[in-house]
Amino acid sequence: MNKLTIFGICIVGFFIIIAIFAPIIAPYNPGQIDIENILTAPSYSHIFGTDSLGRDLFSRMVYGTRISLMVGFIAVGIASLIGIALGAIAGYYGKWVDTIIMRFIDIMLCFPTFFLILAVIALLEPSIINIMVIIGATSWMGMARLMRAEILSLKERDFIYAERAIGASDLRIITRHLIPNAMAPVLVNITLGIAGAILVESSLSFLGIGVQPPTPSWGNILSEGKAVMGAGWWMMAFPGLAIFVTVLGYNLLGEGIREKLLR
Amino acid sequence: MWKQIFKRIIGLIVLLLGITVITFAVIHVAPGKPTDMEAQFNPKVSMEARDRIAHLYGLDKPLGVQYIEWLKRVIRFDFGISFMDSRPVMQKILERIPITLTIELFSIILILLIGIPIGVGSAVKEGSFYDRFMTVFVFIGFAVPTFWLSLVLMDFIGVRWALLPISGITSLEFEKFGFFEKAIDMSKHLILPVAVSAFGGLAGISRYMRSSMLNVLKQDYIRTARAKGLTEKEVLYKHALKNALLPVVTILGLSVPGLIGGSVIFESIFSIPGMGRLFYESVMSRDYPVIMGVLVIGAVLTLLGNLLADISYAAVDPRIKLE
Amino acid sequence: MLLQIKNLKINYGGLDVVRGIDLNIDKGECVGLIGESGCGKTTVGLSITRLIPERKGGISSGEILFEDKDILKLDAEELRKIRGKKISYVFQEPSSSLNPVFTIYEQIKEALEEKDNTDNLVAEILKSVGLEKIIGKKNMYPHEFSGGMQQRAMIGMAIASKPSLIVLDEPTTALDVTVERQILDLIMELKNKMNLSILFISHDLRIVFNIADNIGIMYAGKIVEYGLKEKIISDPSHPYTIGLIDSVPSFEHRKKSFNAIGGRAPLFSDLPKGCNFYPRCKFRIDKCVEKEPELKDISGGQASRCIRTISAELRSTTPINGIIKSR
Repeated sequence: MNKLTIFGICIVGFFIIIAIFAPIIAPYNPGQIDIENILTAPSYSHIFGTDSLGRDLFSRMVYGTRISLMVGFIAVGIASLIGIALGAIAGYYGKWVDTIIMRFIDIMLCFPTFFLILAVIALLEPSIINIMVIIGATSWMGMARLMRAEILSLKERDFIYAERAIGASDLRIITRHLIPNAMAPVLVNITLGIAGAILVESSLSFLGIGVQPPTPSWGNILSEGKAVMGAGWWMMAFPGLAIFVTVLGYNLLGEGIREKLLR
Repeated sequence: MWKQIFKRIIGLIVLLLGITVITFAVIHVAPGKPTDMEAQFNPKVSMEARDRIAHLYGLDKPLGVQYIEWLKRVIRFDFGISFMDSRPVMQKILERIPITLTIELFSIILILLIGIPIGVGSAVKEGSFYDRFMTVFVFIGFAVPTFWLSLVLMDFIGVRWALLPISGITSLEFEKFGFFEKAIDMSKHLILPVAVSAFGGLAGISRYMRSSMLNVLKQDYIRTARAKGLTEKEVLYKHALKNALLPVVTILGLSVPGLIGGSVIFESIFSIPGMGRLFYESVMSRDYPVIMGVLVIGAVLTLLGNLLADISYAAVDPRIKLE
Repeated sequence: MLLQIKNLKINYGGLDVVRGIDLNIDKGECVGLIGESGCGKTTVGLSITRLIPERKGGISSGEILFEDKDILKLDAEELRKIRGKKISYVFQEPSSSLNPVFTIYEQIKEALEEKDNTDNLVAEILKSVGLEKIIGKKNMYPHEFSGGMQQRAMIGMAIASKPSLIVLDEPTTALDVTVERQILDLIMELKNKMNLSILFISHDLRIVFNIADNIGIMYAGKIVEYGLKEKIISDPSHPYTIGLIDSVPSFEHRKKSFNAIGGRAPLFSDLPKGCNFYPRCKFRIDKCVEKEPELKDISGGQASRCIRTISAELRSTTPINGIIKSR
């Protein structure tokens, strides 16, 4: 397997482990305020330094991993459910069902996605659940198109005719035969989608309408970093690096899966 | 042929209608009435006063009716008055569009100028050090968050090394400049935003160009070109390149929504008075008319971008008949 | 001797697919190279001007002498001068062998060596390949042509610089049978008019029969029989050739069933010991597995890679089935 892909897997795994074992890994309580140590540079006691309330940056970032990954997975999960379902239905049933769904996708794709997300998030409460749902509800279109394309080519294959001949129901055909066989390119999309979702969440948090403080998210830590630019380089450097590396990991993994499937 | 054009137009109308529906739906997803914001500023406003305001804006009518009313005005590009400064929404948007579009245009040019050669070079030298280096470089480009990049650039180039301005599109003494100086001043201000905007797209295009070129190089007609005794340059840059560029043209048109969406971030960070920042400000202040206006206009611009992509594709690929 | 291929060995995809080919083509001579799919014949054709993609494989040893110069030793510039100008190609799939984004006119013009007076030259070429009706129509693209017309255009491109040798790799396989006839006639006509040398690669003996002077039969990367076409057809000596001829259906012998050669061509990664044809051979004896037979001369310029030299009596009762007779 490609070296880069392995690198990607390592990164992804690394952050998942951090997220799962956050309480064990983080040396401090991420919410613990320490007025005497405001904005200190990285040192032995605080390896990433502290923020403007004296909180340990490293611990906050460790817990931020949980947020980022959780949002990433669930948002993409929602997007996948919607996308796979709609794509499969459109591809399988065709005709006017297909037309309606495809038109709907076309309309949704006309909007700059970030605009849509911004609009809805700002109008609702910026809670984590809302963020996950909104990102999910605005990023399913690519997956739907992919699934539809795969289903369109698969449904004319002989094994599908065989299934119909023995009287299998549509639902069964779709869920047990078509979708599993069509998952390959969708998998790539899902992996890359997680990267995208993490980017969106951190952008939202950065702008102040994502994860709200005091809950730590890489994005809102970066926002603080902007405020203290010049006074605390670590506030900008580490969260940015974390986002970058995570997204890189998922991109590499996604590309690796794509290479494998292009055999 | 006319039938095709007719179908196309119908399709466009459907899309436009759909855009308005979604926009309308998105706004009315919010709990509470749009007037709440106004009323909040003045706690002495009574329930009757609020109802009166609601009635004034037509907010007490059923949603369907509200939509039709709104749609009727939108068709005439009347998006109402901004809640924030009572100026016509369309005017505010029109002020901002040129700047955002300019930045986007330059981004696209940059992306093409840099991304296409990188992609072609990687394909031609497949497997070489150059190819692998570029692959890594491209992945990094994909992964860097725009807002982080903006901040880092701002910090180093703008603050520490003070090479370029980091705020707005003109300096304070702009009015005193001659024409040339004005142009240079604006350009300096635009360098960072354009660079940030182009960065992610660069990765995408070069990757896409590479795979398109690789695909083309496997084709039979390339073998024919070689068999004819053409130079390697002719084979690559005449026969292969033209075919490989075809799908890239489409991708360009499709990247418009991404560029518009991304503008929110760097316009906010670099204080550029463009559409993205307008949208952000209107969202933060619940300025509904502006929000709806920008959503619709943004979607329309995307539509235009797609249309342009389709037309350009049909223009360059002889296998496709132009409308 | 215009072209001399000596002991050519080619590696493709990690395997030796051409395992020692000798072939000669003289001025004005047409040699047919016959074999099943995958026997290496296309590879031989491509190797003549080193068209095998480097990533896929390469020529491991041997010589290809064209006008007494070894092509394998030429540098890129000299090679380019030969390609298209002295040796040109016609490939199997004209629809994918023509560049879809350039006009036919342009692609033919590109093949010309002369850079002025191109309009007239292109018109002449179009006339000689039967495409008179598109003379002057400079904006036609490949996808607007039928398969037959596309192949005519390809042939036009191939003769544009008046080459000495043309390699035709299954030029009619992708075409309808009626069109096939026309294209073959065209090739014959051009061969006679321009005194061309031709290497005609095909899997079908019948097609090659009219136009070829000599025929070489390839199996598992080697030539197993070679000789004048009349001899090959009437007096085949190698069991594989016999099998090929026997398996041709004919209208004249409607009642008799035709005999396909049983089994499949061997994979290059798994060649049979001894004679490569042993598993499918009707005439095999135990001695055949001992070692791979050499190509040995029989008589009258005929050569066969069989230790037995199958004579007419041995061929028993299956008569030679009909070949497409020339008009």
